[in-house]
Amino acid sequence: MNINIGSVQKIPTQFLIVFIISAIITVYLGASVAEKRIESRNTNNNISLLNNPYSQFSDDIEAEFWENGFLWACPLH
Amino acid sequence: MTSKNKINNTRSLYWHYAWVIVIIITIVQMIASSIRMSFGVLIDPLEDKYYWDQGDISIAYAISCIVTALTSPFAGYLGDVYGARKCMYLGTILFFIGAISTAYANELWQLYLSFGLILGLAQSILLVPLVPAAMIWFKKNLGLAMGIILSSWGIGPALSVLIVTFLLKQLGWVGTFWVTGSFCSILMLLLTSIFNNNPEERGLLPYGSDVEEKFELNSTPKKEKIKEYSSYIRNTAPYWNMSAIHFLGCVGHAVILVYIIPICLNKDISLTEAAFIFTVVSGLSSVTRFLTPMLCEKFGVRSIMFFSYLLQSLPILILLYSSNLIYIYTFAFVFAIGYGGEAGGFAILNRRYYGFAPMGIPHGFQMLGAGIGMALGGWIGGSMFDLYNNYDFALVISILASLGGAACILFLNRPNKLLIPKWV
Repeated sequence: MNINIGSVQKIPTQFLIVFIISAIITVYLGASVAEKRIESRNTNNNISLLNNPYSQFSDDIEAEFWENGFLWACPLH
Repeated sequence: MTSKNKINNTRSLYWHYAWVIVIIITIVQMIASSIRMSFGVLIDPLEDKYYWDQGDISIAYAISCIVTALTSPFAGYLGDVYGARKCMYLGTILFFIGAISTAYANELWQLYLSFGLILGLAQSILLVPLVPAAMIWFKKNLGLAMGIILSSWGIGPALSVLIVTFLLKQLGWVGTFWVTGSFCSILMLLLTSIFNNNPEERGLLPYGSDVEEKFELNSTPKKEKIKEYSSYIRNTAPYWNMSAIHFLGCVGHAVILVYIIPICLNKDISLTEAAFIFTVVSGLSSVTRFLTPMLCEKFGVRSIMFFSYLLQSLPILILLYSSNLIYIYTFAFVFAIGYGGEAGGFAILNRRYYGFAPMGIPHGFQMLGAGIGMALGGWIGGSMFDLYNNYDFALVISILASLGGAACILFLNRPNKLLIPKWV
C-alpha cells in the first residue's frame, strides 16, 4: 500500500501538554489528599492514645495503599 | 440495483438494512452498559448480604471502569481485525460469565474478578467495536444513525436501574443476575445472528451510496493492511488530540454527574429537588446526544463541539456562586445541552478525517481517554471534598477541563479533506 499522507506531525504536542498537565495536577492533588489523611490519622491516634492508651488505630480514616504512592511521586509533598 | 440506488440517493431517508444494524447496536449497547450503570442499586444488597464496606464494594465499580478504559484500544483492534460480529459473540459470552459469576461471588476478590474484570472487559468488547461498525454502513445520514446509538447511552442506564431494582426485590441477588444475564445474553445472541459486519456481506452498498461512485470500502481487510493503516493513523495529530479532548470533556462532566446531588445538598436544596435536577440533566442530555451528530453534519463538527464544551463549562460558574433554585435549574438546563453534545461529534470527525478506513483503533483510543477522564473526574470530586470540605475546587477543575477541551478543539485539523487519502 502506497499512501501519501502529506504533512505528518511526529510529536503530538497538544496531547502531550494535556497528558503532562493532567498527570502533574493528579499527582499533586493525590499527594495533598494523602498528606491530609495521614495527618488526620496521626491526630486522631494521638487523641485516642490520650483517651485510651490501648487504642492504636483510628476508626475514621484507614490507611490506603495509594497514599504512599502519591507522596512518593510528588516532589512537593 | 443501479436505478434503485440512484432513486434512493436522491431521498434523505429511505429503508435500508443499515437501520436494522443501528437498532441492533443500540440494543446491544443499552444491555452492555446496563449492569455496570445500575451499580448504585447493587451496593445496599451487597452490604446487607455480606456486610462488606461500601468503599470496598465500590472498588469493583472502579476496577470495571479502569478495565473498560484500558482495554478499549484492544477492543477496537479486535473489531477491526476480526469484525464486530465475532466481537459481539465474544462480548456476549463474557457478559454471561461475568453476570453469573457475580451472582455467586461471596468474597470481595470474586466480586472484583467477576464484576470488575470480566464485566469490564465484556463492556469494552461490546461497546467499542460497534460504533465503527455502524459507521461503515452509512455514507449519508451518519449523524442520525450516531444520534440514535448515542442516545441509548442515556436511556439504557435509566431503564436498567428500574428493572434491576424491581428484580432484586422480586428474585433476590442470585435470581436477578441469572435472569438479567440469561435474558440479555440470549437477546444479544439473537441480534448478533442477524448482524452483518458491513453492507457488502448482504450484497448492499452503504446507506446513501451510489453504485456508480468509486467506493473505498473493503469488506475483509487483511490484518497486515489494518496494522499498516493504523500506523498511518497514529501519525496524524487528530488521533492523539481527539483522545485528549474526550479525556478533558469527561473530566469536566464526571465531576458534575457524580457529585451534583451532594453539591445540591450542600446548598441546602432538598434531596427530592436535587434528584430532580439530576433527572433534568440526564433527560435533556439524551435529547442533545441524539441531535448533536446531525447538527455537526449540518453546521460543522468543530463549531458544534466547541460550543458544546463551552456550554458544559460556563454554567458551572452558576453552581459555584449561587444557591438560588431557579439559577440551579438554569445551570442544569444549559449544562445538559453541553454535556449531551460533548461526545456527539467524534464519530463524524473520524469519518471526515479517515473516511471508510477501519475505525476501531482510533475510536478505541478515544474511548480510553474518555474512560480515564470519567474515572479521574469521579475521583477528583470526592478527594477535593475531603481536602477542602467543599466542592468549589472540584468545580473549578471541571470548568478548566472543559475549557481546555474547547481550546484543543480549535487546534484540530480542518475536517474538509481526508488525512489519509487512499484506503483500499
